[in-house]
Amino acid sequence: MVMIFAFVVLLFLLFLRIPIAVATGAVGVVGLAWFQGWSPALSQLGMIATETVLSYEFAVIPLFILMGNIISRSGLAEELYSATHALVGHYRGGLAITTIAASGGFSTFCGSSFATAATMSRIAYPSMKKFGYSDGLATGSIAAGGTLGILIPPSIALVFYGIMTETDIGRLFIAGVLPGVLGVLFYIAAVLYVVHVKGDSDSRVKEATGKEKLQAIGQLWAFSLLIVLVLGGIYAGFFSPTESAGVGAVGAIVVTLIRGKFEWRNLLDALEESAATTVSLVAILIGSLVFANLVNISNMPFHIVAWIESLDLSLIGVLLIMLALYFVLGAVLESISMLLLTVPVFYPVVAGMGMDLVWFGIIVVVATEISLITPPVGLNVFVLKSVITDVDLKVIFRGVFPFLVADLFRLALIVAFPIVSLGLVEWME
Amino acid sequence: MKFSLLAVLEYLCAKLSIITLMLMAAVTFADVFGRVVFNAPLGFAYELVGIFLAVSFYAGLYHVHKTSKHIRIDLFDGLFKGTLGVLVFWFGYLIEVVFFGALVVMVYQTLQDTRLFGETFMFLGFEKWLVLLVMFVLAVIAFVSLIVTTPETRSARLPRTERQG
Repeated sequence: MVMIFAFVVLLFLLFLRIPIAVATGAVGVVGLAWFQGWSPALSQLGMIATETVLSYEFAVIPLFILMGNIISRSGLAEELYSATHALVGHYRGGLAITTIAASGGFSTFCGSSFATAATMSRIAYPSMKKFGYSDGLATGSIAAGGTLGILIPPSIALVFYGIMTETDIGRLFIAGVLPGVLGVLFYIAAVLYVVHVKGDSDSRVKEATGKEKLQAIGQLWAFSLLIVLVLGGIYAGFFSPTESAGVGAVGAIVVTLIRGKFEWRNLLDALEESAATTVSLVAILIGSLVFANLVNISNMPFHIVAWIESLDLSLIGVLLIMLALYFVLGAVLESISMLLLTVPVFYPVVAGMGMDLVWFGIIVVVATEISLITPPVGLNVFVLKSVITDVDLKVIFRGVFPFLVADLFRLALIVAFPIVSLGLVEWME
Repeated sequence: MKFSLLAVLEYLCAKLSIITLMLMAAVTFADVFGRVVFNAPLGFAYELVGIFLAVSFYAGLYHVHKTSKHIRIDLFDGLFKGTLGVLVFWFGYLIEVVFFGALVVMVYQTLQDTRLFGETFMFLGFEKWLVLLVMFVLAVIAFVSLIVTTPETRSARLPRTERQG
């Protein structure tokens, strides 16, 4: 009963625009005080606020953010777009496919769905408009393509999940690869459905010559090398995720220097933005770890397990209930808060039922990813709307619908076949 | 030009935050490079990177408080207009002040406990409470930034069309 009240108060505070970090932290402290008294509750706040930020493992967050911010300012998005454009732009729906593929590639560095959506809306939208693509397909492909950033490694969402559940972040990154690639392929299938079956956006772009294709791909060698180093280092066991993030951040500066695109102003901007984002995210992490302590102290997961046992539900049945909850929450909460509120409650439940936490992590992040384009909140859609002001929200949500269906298919596949998430992990081990 | 202590603090905190962030990347890279190429990792890298993260976080908190850049859900922003908007903003602000005030006090408490316990960094060799002292000072400075950035001040900094209430 206390925990239900705590969740209601938390949602109330969140909707009153109180920062997520403060709302989760304050409810966590008051709840802990209810169970243990004020002194232990406040002590836990002090411990978490000092130990969390002194932890080497948590440095993975700012370092990956820094890498993404440096790369974002070095023209990668434009080059990825032009390379993919040269390869597939001439097919029907080719520019939308280009947007999806370039978003997937860009998110490999960026790790942020919003940054991917905002960047691609500036690059891809004018091009699609020029060639007569409908607003629905143009904005839908950008909003959906942007969501790929939350799963494709290095993913900040997977880092958060790994920290909260004490799951190996490197294994989570490996597990995210195949579902991420599937996401790109399913989105491309959605584009093909829209252009071929619904007859949308029929116009085609002139095919690039072989030389132009080679030139466009050639521009990407340095970025490709960096991503092979960063992710390959983790996958091959050379680096821990934090080390890999540090190598990535320094490597991003080196790559930018080699390509003659280094500017002190850009580096300073990247550092400033990364510092601000880091503070916001680490503050949320502190608040949610306090809240997670409350969840543990209250024995809530134990009560849920007992309730599930009384219902005699299978693991899939439990997962379906959780996913239904994600879709409800996803309609009103943004992705990070949803992840941080639900994971401390859900993961002991599924772990108790023998589920692999890496597999569960991928399911949770994909469900969170879907919530980025589900109405009425769909944050990626709002990011897009803030950049492309002349397109109606309804049009964007309508354009997103085929991609939403593709996402649901992918989620069903990941839930039904654990090998989609775990196959690569097991193979690499 | 008029001297402002807050402006100086803001400048110093912002610079400290980005310098430690850069150092975090540099030390991590040097550690990996040393280990992979010369088989000579920096033993103290883990502790140093943790310290840089702590300093970067507490130094950066000033700017995030001042610019109100904490992540929040603005789904119902449209509802909070007029007197209700003012009340909601002040209510949220007071909770922020109480929470971050408690955080400052508890960082100090942890600092005292660590000092009494005599905990030291294994590789760096110095006492841990010294770093906690830096964190505490930065947390106090950030708290001052929160105190002086009332909802009214935040609103006054926004362009007329974006003001709340």
